[in-house]
Amino acid sequence: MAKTADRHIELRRRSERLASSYPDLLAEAERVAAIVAQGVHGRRRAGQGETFWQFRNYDRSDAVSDIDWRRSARGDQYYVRENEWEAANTVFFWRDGNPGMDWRSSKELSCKQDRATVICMALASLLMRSGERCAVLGESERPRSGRLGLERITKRLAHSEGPYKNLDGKMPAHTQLIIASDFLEDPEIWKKRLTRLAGRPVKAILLRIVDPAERVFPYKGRLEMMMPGKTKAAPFIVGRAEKAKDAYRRKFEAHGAAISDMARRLGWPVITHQTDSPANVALTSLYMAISGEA
Amino acid sequence: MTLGPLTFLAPLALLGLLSLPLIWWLLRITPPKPIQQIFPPLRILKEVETEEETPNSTPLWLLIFRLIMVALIAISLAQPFLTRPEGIESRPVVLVVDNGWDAAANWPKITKEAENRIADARRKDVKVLLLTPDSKLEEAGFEDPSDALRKIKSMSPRPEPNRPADLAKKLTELEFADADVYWLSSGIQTEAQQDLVEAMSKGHSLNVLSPTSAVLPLVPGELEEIADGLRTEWHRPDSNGLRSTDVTAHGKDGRIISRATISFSPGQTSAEAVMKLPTELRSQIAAFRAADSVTAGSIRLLDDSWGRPLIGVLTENQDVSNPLLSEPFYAETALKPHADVFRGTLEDILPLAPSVIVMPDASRNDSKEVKEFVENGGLLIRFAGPKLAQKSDPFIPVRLRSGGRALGGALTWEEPQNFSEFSPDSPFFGLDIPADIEVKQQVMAEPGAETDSRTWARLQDGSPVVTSKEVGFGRIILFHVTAHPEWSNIPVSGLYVDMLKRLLSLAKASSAANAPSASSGDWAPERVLNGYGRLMTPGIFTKPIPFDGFDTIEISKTHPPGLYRQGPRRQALNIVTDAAKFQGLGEIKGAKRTTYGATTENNLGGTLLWIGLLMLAIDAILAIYASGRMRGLKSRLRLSPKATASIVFSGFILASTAQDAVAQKEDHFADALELRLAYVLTGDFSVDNTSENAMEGLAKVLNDRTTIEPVGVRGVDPASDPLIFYPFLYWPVDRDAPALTDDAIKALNDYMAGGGSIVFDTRDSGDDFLSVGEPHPGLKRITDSLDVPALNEVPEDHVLNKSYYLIDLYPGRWANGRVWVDRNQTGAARDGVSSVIIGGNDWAAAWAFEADNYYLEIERDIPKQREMALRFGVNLVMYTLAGNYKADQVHAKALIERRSIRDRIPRNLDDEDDSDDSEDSGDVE
Repeated sequence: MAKTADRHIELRRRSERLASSYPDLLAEAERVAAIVAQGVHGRRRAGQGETFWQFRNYDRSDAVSDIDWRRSARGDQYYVRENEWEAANTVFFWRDGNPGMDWRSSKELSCKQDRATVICMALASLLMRSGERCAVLGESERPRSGRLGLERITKRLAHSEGPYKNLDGKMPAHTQLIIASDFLEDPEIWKKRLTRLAGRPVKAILLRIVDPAERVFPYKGRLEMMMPGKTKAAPFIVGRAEKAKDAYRRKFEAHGAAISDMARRLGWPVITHQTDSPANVALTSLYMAISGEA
Repeated sequence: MTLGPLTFLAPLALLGLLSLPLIWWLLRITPPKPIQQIFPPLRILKEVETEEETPNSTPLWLLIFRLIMVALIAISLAQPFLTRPEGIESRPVVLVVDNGWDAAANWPKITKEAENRIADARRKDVKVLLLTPDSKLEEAGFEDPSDALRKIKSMSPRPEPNRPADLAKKLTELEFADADVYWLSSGIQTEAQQDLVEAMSKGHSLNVLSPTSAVLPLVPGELEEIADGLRTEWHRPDSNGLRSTDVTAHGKDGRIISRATISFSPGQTSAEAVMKLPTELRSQIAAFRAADSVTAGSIRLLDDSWGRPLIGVLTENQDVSNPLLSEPFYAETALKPHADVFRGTLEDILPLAPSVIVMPDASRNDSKEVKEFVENGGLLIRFAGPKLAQKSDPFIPVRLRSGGRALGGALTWEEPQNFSEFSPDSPFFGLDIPADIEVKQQVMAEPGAETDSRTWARLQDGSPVVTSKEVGFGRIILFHVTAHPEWSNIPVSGLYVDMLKRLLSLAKASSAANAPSASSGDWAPERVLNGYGRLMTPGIFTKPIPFDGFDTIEISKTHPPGLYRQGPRRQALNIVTDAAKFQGLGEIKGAKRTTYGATTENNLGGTLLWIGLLMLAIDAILAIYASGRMRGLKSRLRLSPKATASIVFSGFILASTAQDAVAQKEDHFADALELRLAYVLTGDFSVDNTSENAMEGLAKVLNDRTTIEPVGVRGVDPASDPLIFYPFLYWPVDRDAPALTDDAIKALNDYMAGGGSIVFDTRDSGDDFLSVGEPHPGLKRITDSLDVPALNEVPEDHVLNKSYYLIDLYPGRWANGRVWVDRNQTGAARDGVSSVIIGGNDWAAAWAFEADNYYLEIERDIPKQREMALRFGVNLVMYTLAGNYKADQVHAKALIERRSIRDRIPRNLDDEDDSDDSEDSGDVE
């Protein structure tokens, strides 16, 4: 238990550092804020809200009770008072927790799961600073905001086992969903999962985490390849790894393309992040994706 | 089994080659173990078509490498030999092996050669006849090479001369006309050599092997005592080329007393070694050895005739009433440090065969026996006195006037006189004459030319005071004063001792051998030499030599060379009596001469095995390489394979040595700025560990209680580390502690001279009842070479007892061991700090502290022993740092008061008072 707590703190620290050390990113967020994601900031549209937005001429379809009599009394025309539409966006996170995520090809890199967690946490931190509400899909009972909410959600992100059934968790309509995974399973399986999600009124962004060794396959000689975790699957012996290299790379690229295709068909962006590149690249893309969407 | 030029001694081992196909097959089917690798996208990888189904078996080059390796090992175990071209004919072999003392110097070469010959015979499958001078005729005969090999391996050189005459006789009785004769000679000529060569010549061929001249044994010749040392002469058997070696003089315990180099010029067979030694050291020499000639013949053992002379001091029987005023007392006291002195009447002394007899006036004796003694080479030292003044006797060097002469008395004009300077022809020449010597009375010699030439010392007015005359082979010396301070104050001056000491070297070789007597029994062997010249306890075969037969005895198995004892006398039986006759082998007609070691090594087994094992080691690296495990290393270093290999090989060796040493030395200099408690590294891990913990524990106590704040501890090696920064060195000494190196001796002496203290802890006071009186061997070895001052037990008023706490015991693990310090407490240069503190209480065990627990349980000899031990430690550090500052009398008053209070209080409160006492004193800073 103590170990997982440590791990949470460590990841949290990393994500805070990641989120805090980019003034450019914050500036970008400010620019975007006016239009998108600043939570309780107005949507620059008339709608449900408490802040005054505009007066407009009375239309016949308006209810008489909507007329702002005080304004109308100053002139000959009837005016209707409109308030600005105010609504915080809700962002849900789902981070894959299968054993393959908890792997790294060398000690210098962080494992895929940690990297995914860090990026999600940093994003959540940035979002919640501007008032958005965030939640972990299938684990949080309701989206939260504010500092305490951030504490809760980072803890859940760090400890989440990330089972696939969480993808069917309760989610209000029109929420933003971040799916962080390595997407290494059969594209057919993923297709099934994602189409089920697409059936709900949800916009998703796929964050695909890739270890460099998975892409370049740097192995040589005789290898006994094993699945991560406690699997009963027999190890796969590769006689001469260097010979399988090219074929494997082609297969891997094809797999990546299949995932991208599927996402594009659903209209969801895919952000691919390799663990040997800095996390802020992925964070920036994610932010862009979220802001660009709204 | 022979295969072309190769011969295999153990051909069965070649069956091992049959395993090669098996190894081939095994290596084929068991490729190197794959590297295990976790790989999440395994599903994708599995879709990749793999082209070859049996990939990466053992690479062919590795396979071949391993097969060669196994083949080499199998072949080497079969003991292959390259057959020599000349050795193809096979005839029986006769080996005549010298195994006397002269062969010992080259014994390994001789046995090696013999083994080669026997191995050769084994290959050719012929019989071998092995003959040595001591082998019995009935046992000699042709036998299997393996039996001969066993014999030669169990043989060792004997400490006896070779007897070629016996050997020749044996050879004539044996039949070996068709055999090759090899004479493995010692290279030394013997008188019956011609007979031997003739006897051997009846074989088919005669080969003579001898050592090269540079390794022939050396023998000692004349030994002579010169004014300031000893001169030894050494002989070599031939005069070819230069040869130089060391000659060492050894004491009774085998340690080297002196060393000199002898150099033989080309053409010379003898050389001299001169050793300059003071008399005290000279008398301790027990043997001379030539350093590079390890044989019993190259040793000159010294006996009673050298070393401490035996001195008899004649006393009267009734002389016991006033021993401190008696004449023999002064003579005996002066001579005792330099000789073995016996007191008694003439009848008691003569059987001991002394080389010197001291005859004071009171015990004057002019009997026939004294005359014989002197004429046979004895030295008689006489002192004058009232008796001699009254009546002269024949045993005096010069004629005397009767009555004597008194100077400085009430009725004389003359003042008491001092000695005048000794003349150059006097044996006393060069001695300093103290200014306060007064001769008040003497016997007067009749003047004359004879008197002048016999005078060795004069008074200032020119009258002789010491005269001497040769009588027969001996000499009489007369002091014209008494042996006690009645007539003069010479006997209480240092000059008396110096003069007698000079006289001792005049004593001829002890007349021990001249005076054998049946009553004292036979000469029993005490220590005997083995062939290599090592002194051993006599074996069961040795027999005593009859009392009158020592000079004529022939050295043999029952009478080996060595030291023999008869009563109080010892005599050495040396092998070489006539060194000048010692000669090399010379020309031998009809024989093929070779030197040892000239025949080449043709046994390939060792070389092949060596290569095979080297390949095995390389194989381990190759196996790693073949399985791809070197990849990580290489990429990390980013180096070519060649560079990688060289780094792997050289890096391991260098890294640990040079850098560490440099780094450590720099560390030590940092200690000049901060106080560290130092202990001496003994090399024993557990001892060093305890010392380190002890110093840490002590440092903690010091930090807690005093203003001494050590920052740490330091283990030092006296030979290499700078010591000057440490107030004291704690040195746990084991019984098997080795002697110090020269560097260490110098460093430690400098350290002590510069004010450092060494605390020796023998850690054995718990079991010192087992070794009562015996010196601690390890401590002795270490302190022998150090400038240790005269010691005494810590006196009650010593600063160590009051430098911080008031203590009167020095407990460690044990409490009752005795502690020794410098006797001189006021050494000014050292500020009163003793340069050594020696004890055996195992203080480290009581101080050692590890992880908040004391390291060892300590004995409970006294109450609160741990605390008391720590207090002693505090006092010790305070003492070494503050010196006699604490010896001041500042506390004297308080201490006296406290003592008087203690004396007044009733006994049953004593305990309480004790603890208060020491607690309080801690505050008195």
